[in-house]
Amino acid sequence: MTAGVQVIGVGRRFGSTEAIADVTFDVEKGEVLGLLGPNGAGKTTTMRVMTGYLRATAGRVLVDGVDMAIDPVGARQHIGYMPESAAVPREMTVIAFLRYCARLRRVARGARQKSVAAALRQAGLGGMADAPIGTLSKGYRQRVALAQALVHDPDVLVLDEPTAGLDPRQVAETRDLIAKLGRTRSVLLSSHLLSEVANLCRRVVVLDKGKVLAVSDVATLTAASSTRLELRVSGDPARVVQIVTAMAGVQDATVRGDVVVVKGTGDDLGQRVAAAVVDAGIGLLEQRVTSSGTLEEAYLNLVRE
Amino acid sequence: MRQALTIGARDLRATYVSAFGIGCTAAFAALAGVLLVFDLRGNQARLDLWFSSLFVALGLLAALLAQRAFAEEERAGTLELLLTSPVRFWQVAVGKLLGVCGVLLAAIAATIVCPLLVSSMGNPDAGPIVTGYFGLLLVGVGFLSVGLAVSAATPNPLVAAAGTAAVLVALWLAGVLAGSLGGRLHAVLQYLSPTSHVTGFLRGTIAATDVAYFLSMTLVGLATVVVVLGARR
Repeated sequence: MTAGVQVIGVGRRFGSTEAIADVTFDVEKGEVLGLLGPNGAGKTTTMRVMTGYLRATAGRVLVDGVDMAIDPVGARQHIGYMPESAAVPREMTVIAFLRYCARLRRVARGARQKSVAAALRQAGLGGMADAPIGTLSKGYRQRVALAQALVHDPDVLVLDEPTAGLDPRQVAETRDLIAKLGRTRSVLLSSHLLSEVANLCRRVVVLDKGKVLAVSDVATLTAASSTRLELRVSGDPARVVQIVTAMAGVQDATVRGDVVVVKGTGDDLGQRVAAAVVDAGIGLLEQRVTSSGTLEEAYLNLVRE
Repeated sequence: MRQALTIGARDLRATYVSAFGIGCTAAFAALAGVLLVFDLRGNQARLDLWFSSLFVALGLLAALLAQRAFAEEERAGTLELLLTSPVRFWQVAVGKLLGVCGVLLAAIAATIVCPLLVSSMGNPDAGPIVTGYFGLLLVGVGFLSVGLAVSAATPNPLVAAAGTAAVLVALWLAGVLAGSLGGRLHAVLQYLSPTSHVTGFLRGTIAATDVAYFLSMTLVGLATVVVVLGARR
């Protein structure tokens, strides 16, 4: 696959504060890349630099091979951006706003009507075309913000929290739309909903304190995250700790009350621990997996480190 | 230029969809009417005093209109969409100016009833009326450009309006200060003050230096918008 967007060693300072530093990743064509990180990690700054709203103080952003620093207008022509605020002018009707966006983004006069109709349809706004944006619910305004990002049929989509404020049905529809768009475009998706990212993205970038902690396949990331087991035994818990600590893949084992908590990696950790305890002649009353290999676990492990 | 026209048309429409645009136009026309009543108390069919008062009123109108152009849009969050579109900063600056100039034109056009009224009562000299209106347009565009530059520099609409008024008052004070100074500083301050460049319009003359002054003010204002937008990135 070829990269739709390349972010190469990008940094951005605000005065003496370094918001992001040495951020490097690429978004391939036909991919939805997840951008994760706690609040203040630099996700929005990264997206703003990618879309040319902010200038990079270090590094380069290439959009379809066009350098944002050298030809910002040419680069922005390829991008559809839905900002986190999803602010859209309330005094305009939906269709007037989309026509305005289409003109602004140089959609040819002959193709404009078709482009606006396609954006309305894709964002599920078919029946709302003539409604003043100010009268719409937050969810529908969110859809208008998504529609404006699609109106010029861009190769690259940068979506900052696109499902925030939507009802469950709208969330499902928007996710389906993003998945569909991601088959032919480069989509960067920032979301706090890790289940959403896990469903839509094959790869993720994890940011924290302005730095990239990981650029990885979701599968690799989750496989590397620890499984947490809770064991209730009939014998001495300290002896269980001694046995499991010696096992491969076990990172930590402690006694909490009458429960032995084991942390480790590997799909078969639970089976191996159970077998080792039973083989040692200790009665295993209960074994529970309290977390195992989820993106959430992997993410939390990364940002806690 | 097409992008600038798109931005200008959208801004103009947005201003008149809200009560703000109609309110500004109506208030300017009403103020013009009140000023006319005061200026006609000398029972003379002349409008130079009326025009000179309108030049001051234009400063207020510019402060009100320009604050919406950038500061209000930034506060509403829609500026981010505009500045991430494939448009150049000069297109944004010119487009914003065109948008507010539309309101300026409407506000000035609404005052035409005043000279018509005076003409029905007396026989005013047509020359100063024509040059007065030309001056109003030129001064208005210059003041609006200054307002846009201030508006681009702040996300707070109130600060933008107050800042515009402050810059225009400072320019006016330069003329006052020039009166008490001599030498080169006097000439510089005198030239910087818009007051010294509107007197020709009031007398029925159009001097190239006065036109150049307000065109320069417009260009400097637009250039400042471009620089400020670039610096904000």
